[in-house]
Amino acid sequence: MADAARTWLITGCSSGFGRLLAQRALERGDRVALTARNPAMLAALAGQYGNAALCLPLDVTRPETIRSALGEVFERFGRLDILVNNAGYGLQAAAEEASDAQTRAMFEVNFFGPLDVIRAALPGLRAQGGGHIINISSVGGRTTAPLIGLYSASKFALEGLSLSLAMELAPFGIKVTSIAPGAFATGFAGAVQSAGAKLDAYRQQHAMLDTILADLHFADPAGCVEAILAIAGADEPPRQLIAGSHAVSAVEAVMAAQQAEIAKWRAVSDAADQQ
Amino acid sequence: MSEKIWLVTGCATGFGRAIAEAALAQGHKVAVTDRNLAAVEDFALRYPETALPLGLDVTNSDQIAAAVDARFRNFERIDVLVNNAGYAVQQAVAEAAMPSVRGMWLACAGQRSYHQFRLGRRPGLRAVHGALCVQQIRGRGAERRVGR
Repeated sequence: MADAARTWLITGCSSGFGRLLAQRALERGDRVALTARNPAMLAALAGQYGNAALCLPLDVTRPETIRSALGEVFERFGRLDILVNNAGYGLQAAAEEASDAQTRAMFEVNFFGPLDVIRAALPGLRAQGGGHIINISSVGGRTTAPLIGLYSASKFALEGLSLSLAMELAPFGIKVTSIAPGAFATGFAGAVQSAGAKLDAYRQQHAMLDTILADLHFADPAGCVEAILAIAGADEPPRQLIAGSHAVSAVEAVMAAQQAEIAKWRAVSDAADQQ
Repeated sequence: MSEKIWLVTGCATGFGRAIAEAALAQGHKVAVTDRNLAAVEDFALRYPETALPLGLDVTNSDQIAAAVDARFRNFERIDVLVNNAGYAVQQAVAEAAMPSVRGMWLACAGQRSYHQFRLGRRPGLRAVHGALCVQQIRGRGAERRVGR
């Protein structure tokens, strides 16, 4: 049950996991900096919790808003226990279809944004002697499929960064966890961008993916938020947590296939550094 | 082995040079590319019939377009594409300069544009059986570019 009140900063609180997580943390008596590009969308929720809630404008692609939000959190709350990099969005497009601009824009939000927020928070986290950084990745950051390669690339990047940071920041008492949610009814699917120019060559693959997505059961995001609450601030949190039983199965299948492929090509791999 | 047409990025040094050299030695045709054209021109002296040195910086989409055009003019197809160019930044996340981190990613993203241009232009590779794409990011040292 709720130990001492903790302080949070959560990005992307206008909807989805960010909003729900902020609400649940406030309910349990924690102090939360709710951030979004447009903080006006947070006022009604924050208003119910008085001084425990702090609404701040934070656009992860605008470093000055990152700096000022973090400065405000440390000034107002004195410390930051749990930083949640939640802001992000999806892209369904063949690599060949997506425009350069939309690909790079997605990387700015899904990868460089969290990186910038983490870098801005680290001096404060190190100075206070600890903290927990939670990066919301995706099952698409552990597995992939046709037409989501660019989105997956941004989330694989985030997973790689998280894993390294978990080691790099351990000496400072700072924990790092990446969360890989499967399909949840967060509104994420509705916010997925599609290719600027669709190519006929990929029509069938799009149709197949659309069918799969239409049949998918999107779980209640409250369950994923409980999973995040269960590990937030833990003494020994996982470095990578999968949220959702279907997502676990998907990752297990991919890991088994990778193991099998390693075994199949073992002789070629082993010979590579034996010349 | 039947002759194949290769395009290899980052051929000035390292794996890129070794891959290009091995493919040429086996009788394949290879577009040997690097952002420093002078560093790959020696291939043409040793393999005047089969090596095509081209300047290609994976972060420069105009150069990618030009290289792909030249490739098709000269060899008409690409069977094997090797995305080798890459480098590593070794620094704590807190201390790495953002331009160097972004630069590394842009180099990787540039390779994506390369595929996109190449594939979007002609449906060639889509139909080519056994196309091989290898991407390497490697290196040691505080901040060192490797394989270019």
